[in-house]
Amino acid sequence: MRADIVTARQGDGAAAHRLVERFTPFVAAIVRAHLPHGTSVDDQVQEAFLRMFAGLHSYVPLPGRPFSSWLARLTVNCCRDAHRAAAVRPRLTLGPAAQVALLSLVDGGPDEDAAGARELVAALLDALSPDDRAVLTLVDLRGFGTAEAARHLGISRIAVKVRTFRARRRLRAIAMEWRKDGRA
Amino acid sequence: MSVFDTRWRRLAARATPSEPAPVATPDGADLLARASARRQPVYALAWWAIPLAAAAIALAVGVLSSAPEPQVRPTFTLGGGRGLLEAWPNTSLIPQISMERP
Repeated sequence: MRADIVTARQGDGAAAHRLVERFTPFVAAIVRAHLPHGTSVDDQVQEAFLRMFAGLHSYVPLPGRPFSSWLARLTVNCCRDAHRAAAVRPRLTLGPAAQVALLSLVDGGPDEDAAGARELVAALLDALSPDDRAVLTLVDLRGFGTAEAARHLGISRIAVKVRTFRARRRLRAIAMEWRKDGRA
Repeated sequence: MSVFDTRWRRLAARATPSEPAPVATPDGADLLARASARRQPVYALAWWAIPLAAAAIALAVGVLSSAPEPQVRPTFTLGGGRGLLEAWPNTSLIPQISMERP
């Protein structure tokens, strides 16, 4: 891989393609975690790779800083910019199934149906900041371990734990507020 | 983990699709070419901007150093608007220091 990085820097298209092939699933997982529900993952993956090639000359391989961490940070920043540009607002109304799911989440109750759960989870995640959304998507939805989530987000394992705890707390506050507003 | 956290994780597990939709692998060579084309204007700007900025600084330094020195000297005044030189002979304005031991 290191050889591919060096030759891609010099303009070798084949090496560039090998890098893209190798890292597409990795970058796609980060993009999926960060971007709001329903946005195009393919476009954002391409944008992340464009930035990777544009900034490849500034990448310096260091012992504690693997290429994947550098790429993860770059992709996260790319997603943040997209999020800002889209100025996503949380949806204002929930469907009947999602309302049942919200009641069940806040007050406890029987299991909600999968469609209602999906709608509520998407709405709650859209109401969070991109960082909170990313960590909860990876840890709670995708079931990543702390180490794997840390690698994907380009942060430490401790930071993942702290961020998860805080994100869940903020999510709880939003759900309670929605419940109080009478959204459910 | 709180009761809410447990309920949230259960909800999240029910909401997660089993397998995310696959993402098409982009053409790496094409992306590399587009990235270098995107970088080009920045470099072009930098090559023009550096001599331009240097010339602007040199001009500013030249203008400032050739400016005439101010002819008006600052004046110091005591209370009441009287000039210092005017007040100087009046010894009552000079603080008196006692040389006697207490």
